[in-house]
Amino acid sequence: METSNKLLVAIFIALAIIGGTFFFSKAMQKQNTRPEFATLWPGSVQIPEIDLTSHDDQPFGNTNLEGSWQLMFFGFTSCPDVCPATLQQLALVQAALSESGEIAPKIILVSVDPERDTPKLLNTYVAYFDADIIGVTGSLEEIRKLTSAAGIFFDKSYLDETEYTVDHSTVILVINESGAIHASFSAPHTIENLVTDMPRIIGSK
Amino acid sequence: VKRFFATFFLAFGSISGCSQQDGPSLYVEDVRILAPLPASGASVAYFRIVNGDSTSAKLVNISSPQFGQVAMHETKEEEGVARMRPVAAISIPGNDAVEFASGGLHVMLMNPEDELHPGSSVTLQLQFENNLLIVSSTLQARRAPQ
Repeated sequence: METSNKLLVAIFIALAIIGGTFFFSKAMQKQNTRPEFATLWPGSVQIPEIDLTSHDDQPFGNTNLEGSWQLMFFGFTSCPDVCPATLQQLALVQAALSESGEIAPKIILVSVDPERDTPKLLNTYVAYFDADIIGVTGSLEEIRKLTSAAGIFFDKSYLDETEYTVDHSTVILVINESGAIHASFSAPHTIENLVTDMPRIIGSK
Repeated sequence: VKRFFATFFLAFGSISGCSQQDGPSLYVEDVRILAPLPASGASVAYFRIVNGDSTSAKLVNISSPQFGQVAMHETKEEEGVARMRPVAAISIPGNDAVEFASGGLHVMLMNPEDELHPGSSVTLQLQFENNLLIVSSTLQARRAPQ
């Protein structure tokens, strides 16, 4: 083989190695920035027009969901176990993201027990968690508009003749700055999973 | 494991395998009773019941002088939906333990008799078919599970 041919082969091999390394590195980078625990909702899902009330007795509609990232959970104030534990987790997620300089989402609790959860009751409840939590309630019809769009299930279940509990989905929704459903986390929830994935979700927009 | 057993009473008949030397065969440990939530006033209690005897024990009721209403509940999550249901009785198999923990079996404490805060003392009376366990603990502030 002539010297010039050998040189060409060497250049070809070197370029192949450099190119392969570059594309592999890009592929790995993309993989590392994809959410690991959350499910992205392709194209996002718009929330239909809602007319709810916040814990400070102010109207809460679609415009209140715009302009910031939010983590939305569905629960009720009489829930002794799952709901307060999840809200405490979300409060810690918010604090951890804020401390690490990431975008800290607002936390929204949508009541699935509007019969008992008045704005006044929600006001007392959300204040307990020492975090930026917005409690939202309203008519059953308006709440169902939101839950139907998000695929959230809830239903009353009587424990005895008078006392009831509410069966409900445990998913946490991620609402983007346009007020649309961007992603969701399924239970079991951990603080670490949410803290890891939220910057990746926000970066995926 | 820290044992948080407080007092052990024999209510009916005798309990096999229980002596001063061996310690009680049926006991409660790792008790956590969380402070009432501000809106509903509901507290929740978690613990582990250990049955060191070879025969099973059946927990049929729980009461507390500090709460007007006490109930055993179980939360089950199926297909992404949490459902809480009352539980009439719990059987603790011989030489086994049953855990009351967040997201599963738990004791719901409602209608507090007085204003209760973290640090307040609370007593639970666990009525088994053949005996009674009395557990005392102080209310803990709620903290998120990690």
